[in-house]
Amino acid sequence: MSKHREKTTTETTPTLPEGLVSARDLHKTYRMGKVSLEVLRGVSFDVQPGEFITIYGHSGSGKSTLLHLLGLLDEPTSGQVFLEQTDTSSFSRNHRNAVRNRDVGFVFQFYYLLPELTVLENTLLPAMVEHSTLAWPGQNKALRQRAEELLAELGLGDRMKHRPKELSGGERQRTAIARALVNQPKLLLADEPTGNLDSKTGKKIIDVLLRLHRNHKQTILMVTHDEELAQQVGRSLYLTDGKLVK
Amino acid sequence: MYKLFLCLRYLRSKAFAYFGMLCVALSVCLMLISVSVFTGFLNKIEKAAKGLFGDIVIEPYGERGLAHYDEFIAEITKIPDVEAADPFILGLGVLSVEGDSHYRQTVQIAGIRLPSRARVTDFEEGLFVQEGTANPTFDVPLNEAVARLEVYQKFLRAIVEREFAAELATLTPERRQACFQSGILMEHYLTRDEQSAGKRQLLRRLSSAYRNLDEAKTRLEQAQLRAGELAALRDELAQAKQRGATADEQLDLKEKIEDITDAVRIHPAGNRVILGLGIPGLTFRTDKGETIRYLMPGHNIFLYVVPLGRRFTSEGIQPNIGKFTIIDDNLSGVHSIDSKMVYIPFDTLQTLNNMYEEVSPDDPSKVVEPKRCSQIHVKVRGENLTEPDLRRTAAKIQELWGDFLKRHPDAAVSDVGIETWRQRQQQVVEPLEKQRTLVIIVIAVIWVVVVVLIFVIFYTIVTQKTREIGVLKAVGASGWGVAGVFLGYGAVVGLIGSVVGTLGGWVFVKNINAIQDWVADVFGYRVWSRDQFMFDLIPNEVDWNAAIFILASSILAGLLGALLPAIRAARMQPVEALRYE
Ligand SMILES: Nc1ncnc2c1ncn2[C@@H]1O[C@H](COP(=O)(O)OP(=O)(O)O)[C@@H](O)[C@H]1O
Ligand SMILES: [Mg+2]
Repeated sequence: MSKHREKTTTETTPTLPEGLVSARDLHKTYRMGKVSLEVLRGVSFDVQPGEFITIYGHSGSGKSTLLHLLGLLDEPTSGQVFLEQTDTSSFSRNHRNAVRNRDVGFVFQFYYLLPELTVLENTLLPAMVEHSTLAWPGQNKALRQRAEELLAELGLGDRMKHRPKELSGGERQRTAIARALVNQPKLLLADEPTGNLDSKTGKKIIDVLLRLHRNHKQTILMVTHDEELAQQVGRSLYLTDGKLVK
Repeated sequence: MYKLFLCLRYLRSKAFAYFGMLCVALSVCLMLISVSVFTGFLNKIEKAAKGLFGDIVIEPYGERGLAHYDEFIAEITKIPDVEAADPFILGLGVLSVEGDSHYRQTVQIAGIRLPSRARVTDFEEGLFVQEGTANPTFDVPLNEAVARLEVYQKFLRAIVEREFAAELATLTPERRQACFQSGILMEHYLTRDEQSAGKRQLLRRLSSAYRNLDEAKTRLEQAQLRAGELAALRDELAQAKQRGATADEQLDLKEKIEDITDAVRIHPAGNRVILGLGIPGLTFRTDKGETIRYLMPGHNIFLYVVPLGRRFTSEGIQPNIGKFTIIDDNLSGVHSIDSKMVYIPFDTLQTLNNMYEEVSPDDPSKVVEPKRCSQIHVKVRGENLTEPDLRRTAAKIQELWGDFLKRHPDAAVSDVGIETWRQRQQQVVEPLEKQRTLVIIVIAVIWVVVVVLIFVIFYTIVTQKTREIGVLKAVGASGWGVAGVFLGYGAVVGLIGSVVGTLGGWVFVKNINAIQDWVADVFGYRVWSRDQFMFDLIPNEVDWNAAIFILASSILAGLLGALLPAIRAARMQPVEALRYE
C-alpha cells in the first residue's frame, strides 16, 4: 500500500496521461464483513481516441469492475481515472451523471432494456435524460431522427415500435448498442456483449461494433472472457490477478 | 423529460398501479359517502328543526302555556334581529274518520296561525293544494281544491296505467274508459286470477283511493254550488243579530245554515284541518316511493282533543270534540312529524284545548283565566346564522321576558325556556356529531392503511425495477430524478384514484336512495329505516368541502406512500443496482 501511495504522489507531477480515457494504478477492494477481496491490484492503461481495445479475462477476474470504474459508475478504492486529461475523482455527482450521460455509452451482457418502452423509446432514453421536459419539444424531432437513423443502421428499422420481449437476443443487444450511442459518446464500453448470445449472433454483434469503429471512428472498449474473440479485434489486453498484461 | 415519460409508461403497464388506484378510489369513495351522509343528515335536522319550529322556541315547562303572547310577540319583534314570531299550540288527541267507525289514530294537534306561520317556518313548502303559495290559509277557495284533485286524479291514473298496463291492454276501449270513471269498475275490470297477492293489494288500494277521490271532489263541487246560498244565510243571521231579532228567529236561521252545512258537509274555515302526509292508515306508499292518499281535501274527520290547558279535576277529563274538513296536507320530510301531526286553526285549538279566555261569572269584564298558547316560535333575521348568533338573539329575548314577566305576572305559571333549535335538538344532534367524529377517526385510520398499501406496492415496484434503476443511473439519471419518477407515479396513482373515487362517491351519494331500494328489493334489508332516522330519504348531497379535503389528502397519501420507496431508489448505487439478481 505504501508503494501505491508513493506512486500516486509521483503521478501528481504534471505528466498528465494523454489518452481519451486513462486508468492510473486502479485498485478495487470489496469488503464483505471481515473478508476482503482485492479484485483490481493496480491497473494502468490508456485508451486513445478511435481505438478498439479488447480486454479478456476469466470470469470473476474483475472485467466488469474495471469497466464500471472507467464509466464512472463506481469509484476505485485508490488510483485515478482520467477523462481527456482530467482527473475524474474531483468531479461532483452531477458532473459524473453528465459524463455518464453524454461521454460514455454502456452495453451490458444482459441488455438491460426497459420492458415498458419500445425499441425507439429505449434508444431515446439517454437523450430524454439529457433534456428537460421543457426543452424536449424543441429537440424531439432531431433526436428522434438520429435514433431512427441509428436503428436503421443497426438493422432495426422495422422493429422500432416493438417491445423488447418481442425481439430476439441479437436484436435486443443491437437496441442496447443504439441506446449507448444515441448521445454520441466519446467512449463505448461493452461488457461481454456477446456473452448471452449464440456464436453466430454474437459474431454479428462483433461485426456491428467493428463497423461502428471503422465507419464512425467510434472508440470502443470491450471486455470478454473469450480469448479467441479478443485476439480477432483491435488491441487486446489480458486481465489476470488484478493486473493487465499485454 | 424521462421522469414524466417513464411515469406515464409505468402507469400504462403496471397492473399493480391500477390496484393502488383502486384502493385509493375505494377509500375516497367510502370517505366521501360516509362524511356526506353524516353532514347531510345533520343539515337535514337543522333544516327540519328550523322549518318546523323556527330558529328559537319560547316554551314554558309544563302544559299550562303562555298568556299575553300577542303582547310579548309585539315586544320581541321590535328587536332588530327578530324577523317574525308566531304563537303555537300543541295538543294531543285522537283522529277518526267520518264514515269509518273503525279507524282511530292518536295524533298531535298543532294550532297554527296562517299565513303568519309561513313567516316563521317553512310550513308552506310542503303543501299539497296550496303548493308554491307564500300565504297559506285554512280558507282555501274550494275550486282550488277541486282543481288540485283533478291534477291528482291524472297522477293516480298514470300510476294505474303504469302498473296495470298489461291488464288495460286487454280491455275494450269502453271498458278502459269505464275503469277511469270509477274505482269500483277499476277493481272489477283489472283483477286477474293469476295476479300476485301484492299486485291485487295494490289494485285494491289504488281503486279505493280513486273512489275516495271521486267522492271528495263531488263534495267540494256540491259545496261550491250551495256556497252562495250559505253566504246569504250567514249575512242574514248577522243582520238579525244586529237588529236584535228574537231568539226564535235567530235559531231558525241557524238551523237553516246547519242543514245546508250538514248536507254539503264542508265545514267553514275555522273547522278545517291540514293533515300531515303520512299518518298511518290514511296514506300508502307504492314500491316506487309514491305516496298515495286515501283521504283527501273534501273529506271530514273528527278530532277528540285531550284538553291540557286547564287544571285536571278528580272527575277525570272529557275530550273536546271537533269536526273538521280536510283542506290540504303537508309533507315536512320529517317522518315523526308527518306521521303524527295535524294542523288546525290556532283559535280553534285554543278552545278545544281549554286554553280559551275565562271571565268571572259575576263580572264579564273581569278575566279570570287569560287565553294561552303553548309556545312562541321565533324567526331570526339573516342567512346562515350560526349557533352563537342565535344564542345572542335568544339572550335578548330572555332579557325582555324577565321584564315582561314583572309587568304581567300571570303570563306564565312555570319557568320559561328560551332555546335555539339546536339546544332543543341536543339529544339528536350531539350523538350524531360524536358519531361523525368517530367516522372521521375511522377515515384517518383508513387513510393510514392506504399510505401503507401504497408504500408496499411501491416498495415492490422499486425492488422489481432495481436493474432498470441501475440502467437509468448508468445513462446519467440523478438520484432525485429517479426518485421523481416514482414520486410522480405515486402522485398520479393518488390523483387518478381519488378522482375516480370522488366521481364514484358522487354518483353513489346522488343515487343512494335508489341503491337502498334496490338492496331492499334484492336482499330484503333496509339500512335506513324511516322511523329510526326521522327522514323519509337518506341525505343525498355531497359534502364538497369534505370532498376537496379528501381529494387533497388522498393525493398526499399517494405521495407519502411512494416517498420512502422513491428515496430508496434514489440512493441505490448504480453498480449494485445493475448487479442485482
Ligand atoms: N459488490 C460486490 N461485493 C463483493 N464482491 C464483488 C462485488 N462485485 C463484484 N464482486 C466480486 O469481484 C470479482 C470480480 O467481479 P467482476 O468484475 O464482475 O468479474 P468479471 O466481470 O470479470 O466476471 C468477483 O469475484 C465478484 O464476486
Ligand atoms: Mg462481468
